[in-house]
Amino acid sequence: MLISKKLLENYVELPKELDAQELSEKISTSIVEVDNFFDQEKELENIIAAKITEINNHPNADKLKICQVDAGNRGILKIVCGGNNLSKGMIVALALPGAKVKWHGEGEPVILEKAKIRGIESDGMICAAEEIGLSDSYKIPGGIADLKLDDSSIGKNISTALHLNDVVFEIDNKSLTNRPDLWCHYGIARELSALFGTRFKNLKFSDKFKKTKGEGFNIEILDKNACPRYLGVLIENVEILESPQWIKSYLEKLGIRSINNIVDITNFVMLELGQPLHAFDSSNVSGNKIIIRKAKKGEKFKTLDSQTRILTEEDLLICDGEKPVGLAGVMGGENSEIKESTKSIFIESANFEASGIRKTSMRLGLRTDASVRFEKSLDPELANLAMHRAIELVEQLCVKSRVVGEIVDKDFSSKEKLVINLDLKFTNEKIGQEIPTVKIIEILKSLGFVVKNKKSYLEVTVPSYRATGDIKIQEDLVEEIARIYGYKNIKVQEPIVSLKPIYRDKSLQLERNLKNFIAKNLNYCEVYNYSMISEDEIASVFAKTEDYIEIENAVSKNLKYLRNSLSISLLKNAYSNLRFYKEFKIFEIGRIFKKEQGEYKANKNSKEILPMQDKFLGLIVCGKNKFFDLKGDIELILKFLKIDFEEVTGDNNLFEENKYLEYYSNGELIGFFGSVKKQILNNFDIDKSEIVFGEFNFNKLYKYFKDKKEYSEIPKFPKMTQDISMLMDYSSNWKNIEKRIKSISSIIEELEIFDIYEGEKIESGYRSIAFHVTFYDNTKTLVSEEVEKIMNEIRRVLVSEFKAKIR
Amino acid sequence: MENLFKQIKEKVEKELKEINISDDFEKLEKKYFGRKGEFTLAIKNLKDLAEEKRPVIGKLANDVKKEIEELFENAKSKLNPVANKAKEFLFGFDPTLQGDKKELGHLHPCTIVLNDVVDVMNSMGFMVLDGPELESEYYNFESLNIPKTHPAREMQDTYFIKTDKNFKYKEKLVLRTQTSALQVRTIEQFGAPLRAIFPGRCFRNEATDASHDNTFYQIEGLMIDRNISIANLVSIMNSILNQIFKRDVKTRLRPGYFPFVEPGFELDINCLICGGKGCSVCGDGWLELMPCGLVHPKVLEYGGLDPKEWNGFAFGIGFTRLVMMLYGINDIRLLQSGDLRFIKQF
Repeated sequence: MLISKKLLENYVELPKELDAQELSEKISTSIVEVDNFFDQEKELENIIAAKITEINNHPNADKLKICQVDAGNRGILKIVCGGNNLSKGMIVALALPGAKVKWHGEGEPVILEKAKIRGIESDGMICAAEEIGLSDSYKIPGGIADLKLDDSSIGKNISTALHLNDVVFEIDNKSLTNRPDLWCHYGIARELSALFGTRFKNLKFSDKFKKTKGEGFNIEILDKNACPRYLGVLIENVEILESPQWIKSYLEKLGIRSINNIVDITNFVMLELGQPLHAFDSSNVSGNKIIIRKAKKGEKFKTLDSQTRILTEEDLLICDGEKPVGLAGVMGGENSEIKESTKSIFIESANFEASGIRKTSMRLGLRTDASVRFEKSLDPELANLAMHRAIELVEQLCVKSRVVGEIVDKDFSSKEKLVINLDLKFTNEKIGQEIPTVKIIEILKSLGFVVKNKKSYLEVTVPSYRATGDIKIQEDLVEEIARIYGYKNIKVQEPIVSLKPIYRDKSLQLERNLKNFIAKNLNYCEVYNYSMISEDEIASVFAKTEDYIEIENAVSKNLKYLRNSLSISLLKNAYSNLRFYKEFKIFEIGRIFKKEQGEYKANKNSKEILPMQDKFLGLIVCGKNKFFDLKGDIELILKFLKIDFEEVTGDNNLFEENKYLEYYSNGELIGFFGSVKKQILNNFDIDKSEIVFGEFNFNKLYKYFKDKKEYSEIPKFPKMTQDISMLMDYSSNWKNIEKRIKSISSIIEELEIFDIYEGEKIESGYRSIAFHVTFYDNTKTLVSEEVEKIMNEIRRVLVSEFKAKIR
Repeated sequence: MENLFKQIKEKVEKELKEINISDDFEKLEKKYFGRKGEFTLAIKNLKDLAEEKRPVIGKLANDVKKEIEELFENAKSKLNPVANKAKEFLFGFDPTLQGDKKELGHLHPCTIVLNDVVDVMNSMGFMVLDGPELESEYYNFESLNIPKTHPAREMQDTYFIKTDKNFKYKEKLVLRTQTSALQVRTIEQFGAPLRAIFPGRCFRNEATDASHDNTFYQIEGLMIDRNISIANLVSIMNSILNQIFKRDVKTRLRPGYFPFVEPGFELDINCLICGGKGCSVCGDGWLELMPCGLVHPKVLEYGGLDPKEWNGFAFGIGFTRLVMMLYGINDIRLLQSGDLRFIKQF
């Protein structure tokens, strides 16, 4: 929303010593957030009105001219200019060195310097309207702005010559969400008067209009909840004209297009007071009748913007005796708009229930200046004030106009006053500082609250414009007091609290340690990926969308499902990084989502449990022959976590057959890894590299990890190591051999493979494996006979049970 | 015959170890593989062997030849410093050559900064908690004093979850739009007094650009005790920021609106780039960083606490923005890009 300083000054006196920057800061720190401000005088510094006295061709450029301009006391200046509408005697905007201009009206403003243009020095620049932010009325395609001023303006700053000495503040609409009273100049002015302690010039109005006898409109409200108040007035003898300059200039500054005097008045009053109004051509309102009713399902209505809207029973319509003429609170109808031929008008100033307007405007995607105000819950009293202000302006602009009869006011709004007892001790405790009661009373009164001092508490009556939802409880009043008192005036104070050790979430601590371990000990890079994936991506890993939780209202179809594994995003990471790196290791710890039940309750009072959303650890390794590389890393991770595990072969359609392993702890699957199928890699455009991917349920890792501080004695006796070299059948797997061998004797401590060989020299169907067998007995020094006996048994087992050939 | 080939191989091995300059290679190669070389001659002798022995020995000879060739290759590459990866020098030793190239893993910048923040908050007696990203409307909105018709639900573009007969929920499910969703969960679990932060991933259904993403990180903070005031809130906020930025940060409080706090504030910090003079990043010298406020009595009631006895404050740190600010990252989308050229910088 845009706010004009000049318009504010109609209602409040502002301290003269404050410049635009300081005023903006005051508004931001005590009222609402100012996003930006535009100080016309400052922006137009060093730009003067000057008269073209001579135009000559530029010797080096066809499209450029060399102008002599009269710059008043700066004398005659020479300016190179390319405008297509230059003429002798024209008064133009001349930017001198130091002025801020936007080249061709685009980009960031730059500070003008003296320059040579095609070899000719130019003392300044004759500007087009868009180059210095002048209004639309000065814009000429390809041309410079003709200021249409007389000679007395020559040499003057254009901000003075054109009366452009306002400051326009851009207020962040989000910061106004809860303040329906601040969607206008009147409301902001009231706040400023409280802030500066200056007088607020209340609008006063009387019912002494120029009237003519006759019947006004008959107004009937069929849904009093949706429309608690409706004021209407019929005005005759109206002449539809262009608005006077003062209204046009305000509207333009504040971002609204001027249409004609009547429409402009409704818009101006809205900017002034925050009450949206609507004016109908009363000759199109049949039956001298207005009925406010809910739309019928499927009812069609053409709004002012020529769009036909299909309505539902939730929408509210303004109708005449026969047909709808307006979509309440959102937009008027095309059938009754003000035209040049309009002679009499019907003005509506109404109060509509906020959530209904919001629903209609959201559903139709039609956010108007009216709907954004109504959906914040406007004060029903404001409708009356605005109606009087509008009539006053119509009278002023159309002197012949006459109100027919009286204003018709159908008022069903609650007149009950909201009274809050404000405990003074509570107030001071909340703020954390003693604020004198007189100061508190003064602040509240200046904001329009009625205050009665009852010693220990104040009886505070909330003004109607703050009572539509914004102010409800004591805490709301504390905010009013504190912000006007000034947050910067509150002295900071450390809280006094009990000193107790805090609960530490072990799972988060483990996550942090694990991340550090994987990054710093195993040299993986950590990534964060989106939780959302697309249908195509699901198809590319040969999965089905029904196994994924779906987002109902995703804007982009790339973000329609929630990941149920980290695989897809990590494969995408692999693809994009393969363009720059041949080999790399990446990991991620993040939540995945599945339709099964998880661990969190949906609501304290219900038994529903939210879907499973455990954290998973994903590991991906790219390069050549990385299967055992990742396997080694996984073994280290599980060792780091002190998790007892078992590895089991299995099948998983993400992975190449056989190149896949599952990990179990305490009989529960905790993770798996394998070499990703070629076909899937192709779907991710990965063709040259092998990708090994593993995924572990972090929640399970947390469940089974051991935090014990353990120590086992350093070996007291020497260990003994023997080697075996054998030919092993392709079909046997090492894990079984290892298990079996270890079962032979308790003094076999470890088996470690040190050489694997396959090839020409080896009998087909076999691979050569050589391994160390380490023996250790913690009760005595080993004797070689004993070890040799076990070695023989090992060889026997290998040959007889595993068809191995000892070499 | 068998032994002969093996002997030749052993000899070559031995001689290669003693070799010095590349000239000698040629001599050595000539000595074995030249026209009258030892190996060449041995091969020639093969024809003298018995018919049935020839293939066996022939194969052996071939294998030995391959092995010797390999030995030569290895030895040559050692002599050539460029190919000498092991940097085992034959002459002298150059300690100034580059060290071996090694790669260290990297944590994501958000993880690094989060660890810092967690340490700061722990030191001030705040717990660190975690919670669901797929949340119920109850915790994400209702328990935060944002009823169904409240305009604040539209201030946030929410991702809603589709449910059907096979995936039934009475409660509407959303991707949480704010870590504030954990406020009431935490109060239910821990009661009062309480000090906690909840860092985590949040989602908004909006178009992305260099400064907006549909996925971002927040850190919510909550302190509940007796007699907590605005003055206390500012004091704690200042301490946190000074610790995080490791310097005295100037702050200012201004009105802000969030349904779950009253009064509500926006806390701005003095721009770290221009020092508060105003620049293209901050505009007027201030950066909006932490929304905060005193906990709304309704929220305490939802958590089962009596607002007459307990009160407190809540704050949110725009964590993604903080990380970007600390590192000077100019595009939010890099954080979720998985691009190692980015990650490897941290």
